[in-house]
Formats: sequence, C-alpha cells, structure tokens
Amino acid sequence: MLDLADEIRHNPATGARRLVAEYRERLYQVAYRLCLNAADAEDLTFRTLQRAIERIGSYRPTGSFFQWLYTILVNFRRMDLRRKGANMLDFTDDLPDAPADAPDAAETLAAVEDAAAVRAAVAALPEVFREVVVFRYFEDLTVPEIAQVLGVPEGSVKSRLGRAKLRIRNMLSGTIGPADAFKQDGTKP
Amino acid sequence: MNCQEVQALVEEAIDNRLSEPCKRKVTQHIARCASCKALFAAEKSEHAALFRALNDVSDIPPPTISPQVLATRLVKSVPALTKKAGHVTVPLWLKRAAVLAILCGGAALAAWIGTTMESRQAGGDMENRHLGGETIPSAPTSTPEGEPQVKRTLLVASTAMMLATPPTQGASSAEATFDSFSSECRTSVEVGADTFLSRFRTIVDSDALAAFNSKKPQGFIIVIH
Repeated sequence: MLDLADEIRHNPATGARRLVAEYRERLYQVAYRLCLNAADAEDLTFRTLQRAIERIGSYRPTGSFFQWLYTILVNFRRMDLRRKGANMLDFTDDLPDAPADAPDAAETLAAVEDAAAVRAAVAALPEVFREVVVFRYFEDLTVPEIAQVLGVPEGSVKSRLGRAKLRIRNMLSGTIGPADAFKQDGTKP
Repeated sequence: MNCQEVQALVEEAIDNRLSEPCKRKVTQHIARCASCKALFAAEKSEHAALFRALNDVSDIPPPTISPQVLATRLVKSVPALTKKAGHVTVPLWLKRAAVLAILCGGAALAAWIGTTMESRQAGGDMENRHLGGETIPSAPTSTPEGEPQVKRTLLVASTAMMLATPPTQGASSAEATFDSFSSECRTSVEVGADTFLSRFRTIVDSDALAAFNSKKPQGFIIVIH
C-alpha cells in the first residue's frame, strides 16, 4: 500500500479520499475544541486538508503526518484570529508567573467528575492556553511535540500548560469565573 | 535533585519519557519529599481528568459535509494538483543535479567551442572521446605537436536534459529506449548529436523518470559529433 503522501502525489482523487477517511474526523474535533463552533471548525478543517494536498510535495516525514496537519491547522487558526483582531497578547509569554497561593490541584480538577464543567473551563481559556491544553490532553501530544506544532520552545509550552491548569483549577473551584480566565494569570479578579 | 528540579519534570514523568538515571533520581526524591509526592499524584489525577473530559466528544456536533463530498471538493479545489495527476514530482536532489548539469554543460560547451576553434586554426584533426572517466583516442591523427586534444566533448547529466524536454512517448518504450541508450553510452564510445537529441526526446516520460530516479545515477559523459 502506498504511503498516504505518495498516494496524494500520484493519485489526488484516491489520496484525498484516504486523507479525509483517516484524518478528517480528528482534525475536525481538534478544530472544534479550538474554534468552539462547528462552522468555523469545518472551515478550518477543509482549509487544512486543502493546504495539505497542495503542499504535499513539501511534506517531509520527520514527524508524524498528524503533527504536520496540526501545524497547518494552527497557522490557519492564528491567521483567522489576527484577521478578527484578536489580542496579540494571547500569543506572547509576557504574562506574569502563577501566584504561590494557587489552589491545590488535587482538591479541584481531579475531584471534578463533571466532564462538561471541565470542558467549559477549557473553553473559557484564552486561545494561547487552550491550544496547548487541547494538544496535550485531547491529542495526548508530548511537550516537545506540542512545541514543534506551535513553533515555540518547550519551556513556553510547559509554562502555558502550567498557567492554563491554574486557571482551570481556579474556575472549577469557583475562585474565578469563566470571564475572568482571560484576565491576569491565576490572580483573583 | 531539589524540589524545583523534580517538579519541572512532571510532564516528562507523566509521559514516561524520563531517562533511567533521571527517573531514579526523581523516584528517590519523591520517596522522601511529601510535597513533591503529593504534587506528582495531583498532576497525574489532573492529567487523567482533563484527558477524560476533553476526549468525551459528545458535545461536538458531527460535520455537515459527508466524507465523499469533502474529498471531491478538496480535489476540485486544488486544480494544480489535478493537472499533475500521474506525473512524477521531481525530487530536490534531482533539481539540484539539473542545475549543476546545465552549468557543467555550458562550461563544457564553451570549452568545446574554444578547442574547436583552436583545432581549426592548428589544422589538427585529433579527437579524444571521454566516457566514464576514460580517455579513448579515436582517429589516428594527431596535432602537429603530437599531443592529444580534447575536442567536441560535452558533459551532460542526463537527468537535466530529461527534465528540460516534455514527454513525447509512452512509458514502456520510453524506458526501454532510455535503458538501451544509457547502456550504449556507457559501453560504446560515441553518440552522434542528432542521435542523442532524437533519442533524448523519446526518453522523457514520467515512468521512465521514476525508474531513472530509483537508480540515482551520477550522470555520464556523452561525446557529440
């Protein structure tokens, strides 16, 4: 059986069908977790797959094919956010460190059995944190893999993960509301 | 290892990506540090809770477009790719070889023109034909000085020439032509320019190129009369 990349190169019709069959569903779900609505997620998925077909010649099998697709998806997503005028602070690491009196993780997140509440807390995160959470906990990527997909240092990924979890804990423990998750990192409003 | 160093490795520990020596150090530290032990346990629980919550996709509505329709739209949306259907993507090394070969060919051609002019001026009629690094004298003539001259030698990387001309013939015959042509170039001494050009045009074909790629030859020297 041909490698998927080769199949797309040699026979775009069957290659595209295989690409959709193997990757569309997961890509769409990741896109949904990032965009938080179905229409944007479908559009993002389509453009990601389209770009993958267009650029299949530049694909080098150094990482997984999924990682390559995620990189495309993330780039499109960031472009969309910029067009919408999203706050570019979301893409920097200039946020302050977590305070020392953060709620204990064991007392909050693990104790919350309500998956919907956890998802709501993740959805309330700024995108810069939500993307690392999605790739870490939805896609189960490692820190180095996330760093590669996002094009940032591993230290930034760890830092963002830590801050994201802190905000989630705060939201779940009722320390801050979802709207406050966008404010200063981990601090009480 | 102190607490800060150990806590910085919590993600690696969850992924089981710690090296054995590092893992031993972390384990030893956790065994005697209650706060780090609690933190590791909490992080693992948290990881599991987030993983569970996010991987419950019941909140995600299914996409509206069917996979078949999506695939069709994708192919239609990339017309450039559709045009390329059945053709071989030229690998980077081949493109570089082509550029190099064109440069070499140009230089050799210039040298050939130069030596031809000199030869005419000298009235000599000596030819040396180069193939595969060997110098093969042809006509039993010599320059007035009795020294052999390099004449009408053109270095051609076949890949470059193949790239430069569009396909004109079917795959199997083209490949066969190429193989015999390539073999002839390696075993015989000379190929006429017309022969070369006529055959060369017939060997350009995607399948033949793919076969050629798999062999990855370094190119060869062709003598043109």
